[in-house]
Amino acid sequence: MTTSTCAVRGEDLIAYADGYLAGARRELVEAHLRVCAHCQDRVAAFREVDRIIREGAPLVDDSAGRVALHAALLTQQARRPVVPWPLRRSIITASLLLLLAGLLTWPISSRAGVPLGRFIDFGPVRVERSVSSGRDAPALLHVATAGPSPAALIFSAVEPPVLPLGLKRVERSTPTQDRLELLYRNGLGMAVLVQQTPARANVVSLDTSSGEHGVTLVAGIEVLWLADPQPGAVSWLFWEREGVFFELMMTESPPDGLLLTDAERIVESLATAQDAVTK
Amino acid sequence: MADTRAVTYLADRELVLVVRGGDVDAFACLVDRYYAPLLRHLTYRTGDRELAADLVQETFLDAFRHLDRLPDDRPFAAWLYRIAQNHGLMAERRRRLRRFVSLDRFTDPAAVLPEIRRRDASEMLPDCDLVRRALEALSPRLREALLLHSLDGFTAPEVASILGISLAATERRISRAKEQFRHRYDGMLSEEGQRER
Repeated sequence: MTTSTCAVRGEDLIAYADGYLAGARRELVEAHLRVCAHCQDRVAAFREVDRIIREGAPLVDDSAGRVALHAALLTQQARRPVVPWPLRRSIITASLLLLLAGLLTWPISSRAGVPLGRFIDFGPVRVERSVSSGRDAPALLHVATAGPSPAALIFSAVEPPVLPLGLKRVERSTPTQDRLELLYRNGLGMAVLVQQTPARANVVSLDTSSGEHGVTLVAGIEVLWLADPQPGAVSWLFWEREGVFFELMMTESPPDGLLLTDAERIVESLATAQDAVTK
Repeated sequence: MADTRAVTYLADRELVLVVRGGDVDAFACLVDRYYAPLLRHLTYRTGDRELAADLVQETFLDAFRHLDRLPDDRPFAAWLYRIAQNHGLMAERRRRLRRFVSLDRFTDPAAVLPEIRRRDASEMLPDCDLVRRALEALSPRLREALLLHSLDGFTAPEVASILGISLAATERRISRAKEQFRHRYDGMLSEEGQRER
């Protein structure tokens, strides 16, 4: 197949071969195909590609995987909610409204004084970052604190309820005593996970052969980013600020992905949230 | 529970209604229908059979969990492949990050995240065949569109809904993918022929 100079484009031929081309467009393509041997060859070649791929990639059974899946489904089935989704949605909405009403009537205190969780608290802990000299040797930690002992006060984390791009915090967890995970979603199918850990001697080791990466400067912060398969978009960012090591990961992506400029706005917003707490 | 032999002959839409009606065993019929095609699709998409098998599991479990949310006007197969598409994207991102650990965790090996290994091409698929090589030579975007259209038999509008892009863009991708595939496949075929001579 070579580049065609015909008025009928490859995409028209795909639509024609798929059988959904209709109306004037179909008549045009059919009339053209009657007189153009080149395009007849292209349609035949498209169908030939389908045949080559189907024959060259036969189905392979995976009985072990199938059995494992059936077992996992049985477990899921046991956990499956009895209430159907539409009713569940109504119950969730009603619960959220009740919760909102409760929150609005709750006495509001200073954000900086509210504990983040069982283990994580706001506080003036300062952790100096040191770099490992040996390959596997752990770095020495130099911890200096002006507040309570580091054991009680792990690090200073932030959890803004909203981020740019309409991202709203929907989940929060502290899987270990020195890690806070926040999940944000927006109505455009985007979900990002923001993780915060104490900035001790964090190492990010990348497989540089498999993707583009770089460093961008956002409000004086060096942010390491990894490119997304979507051109111009990023999927993973790391940065360190005020004794906290941040990791921002796209967990669900809209078609265009997350643009670097938008990611920078999120980084800036988290830095502003930090400033609001620490200053 | 419905008779499994009976539900096997139901269309996807009807099976979904049976599952929603409370007979969750009918979901096994959907698994049987799409397990092997989805595994093949993800194997060629990721180039890693083991990873593809994991993604198939995650995709079906996700579909089962959220089956109530399948829109009435959306075919089950396209919706299932859309879920697989998201899992594929996530896996692609995960494996690009070889390792991320905080050095202070070296004292506790259990706390270190497992290293995500990018598998060598030789262990990806059983045979180093021309189709696989010609597919791998395509960009991920073109390969994805071509696999959905040529291998899985989705029409261009269905591919567009799975990929979340416009129909015009999908048709362009499929057309370019087919032309590039054919060009590379023919080139490889003639190279093989010359080598044999």
